Amino acid sequence: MTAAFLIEDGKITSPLRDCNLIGNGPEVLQRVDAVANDFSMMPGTCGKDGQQVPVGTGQATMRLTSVTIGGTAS
Amino acid sequence: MTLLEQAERVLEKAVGARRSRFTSRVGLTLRFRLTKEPLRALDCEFVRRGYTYPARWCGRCPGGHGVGGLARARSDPRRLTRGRDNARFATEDEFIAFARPDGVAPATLVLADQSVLSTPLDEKIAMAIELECMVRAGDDRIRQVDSANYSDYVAEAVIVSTTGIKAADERSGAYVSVEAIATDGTHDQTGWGLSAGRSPRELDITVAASDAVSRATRMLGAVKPSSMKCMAVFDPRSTATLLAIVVVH
Repeated sequence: MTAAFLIEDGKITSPLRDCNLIGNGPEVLQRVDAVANDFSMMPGTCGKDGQQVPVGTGQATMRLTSVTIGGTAS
Repeated sequence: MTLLEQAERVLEKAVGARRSRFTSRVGLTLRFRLTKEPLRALDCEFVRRGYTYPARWCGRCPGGHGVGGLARARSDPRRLTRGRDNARFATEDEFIAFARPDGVAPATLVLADQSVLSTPLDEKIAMAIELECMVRAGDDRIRQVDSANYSDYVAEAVIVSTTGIKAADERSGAYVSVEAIATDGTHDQTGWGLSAGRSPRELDITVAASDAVSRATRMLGAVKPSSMKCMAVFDPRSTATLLAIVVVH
């Protein structure tokens, strides 16, 4: 992750950098315990052979109960 | 004569050969970027491009594909000749087929706003300048605005084919974007912001400026954390990225 933030006592505090999410993808998704109601779409374009069509992708805020963060040893 | 009528006229000449499709696009794109100081000098790079996209006459062998000609010479019969000639050398592809009308009326969408063309160029330049000013004033840690950009386009496209396809599309778009660099005296951090719409009046430069300032400053002082196992919250964009990675792999 190039940009992340520590959450302490329910508030965003210090910025974090250069950390990795470690784990098995499908297993990690079983730890989703909350999805917010802030679903939003981001516009984009998909195309081939000179043709283009507007497309969108979107998700909502999501929480995992537990995930391994790879950072420094200490 | 409309672009669709022109396309139909070209198609009439192709009937009797192989199945044919004609695609044509015309459009105008305007881009400029403010990169030099002093800010008010209007010393900007200004690029104006008029595009006439290639028009295609496609003669298909069973799956083959031939393309010939340019839209600049829309009435030029050599385009058809070239397309037929190319099709002779095409390789077969069983997975390529001509689309056929499905009887469903296409949705009526208004995707073009003519104010892209009627808005004076000075107003567009002023938007880019104001965007740069807002970013510079947004936070003391912003040390440089790498560029402030405005871009818009209008385009029209048609597709007609001997299978009965007949479709026209017109659209426009505009956006402003800005790239900023912030510093805490030790580290630099970049940030960007943009606003997009169908026309200049839909653009919100306040949002673009705010996003750029926020992205450039929020990571100043970031540290690499200790390895740990913890609860994690992903914002919508990160969630979409994570799911894309998990699903693809």
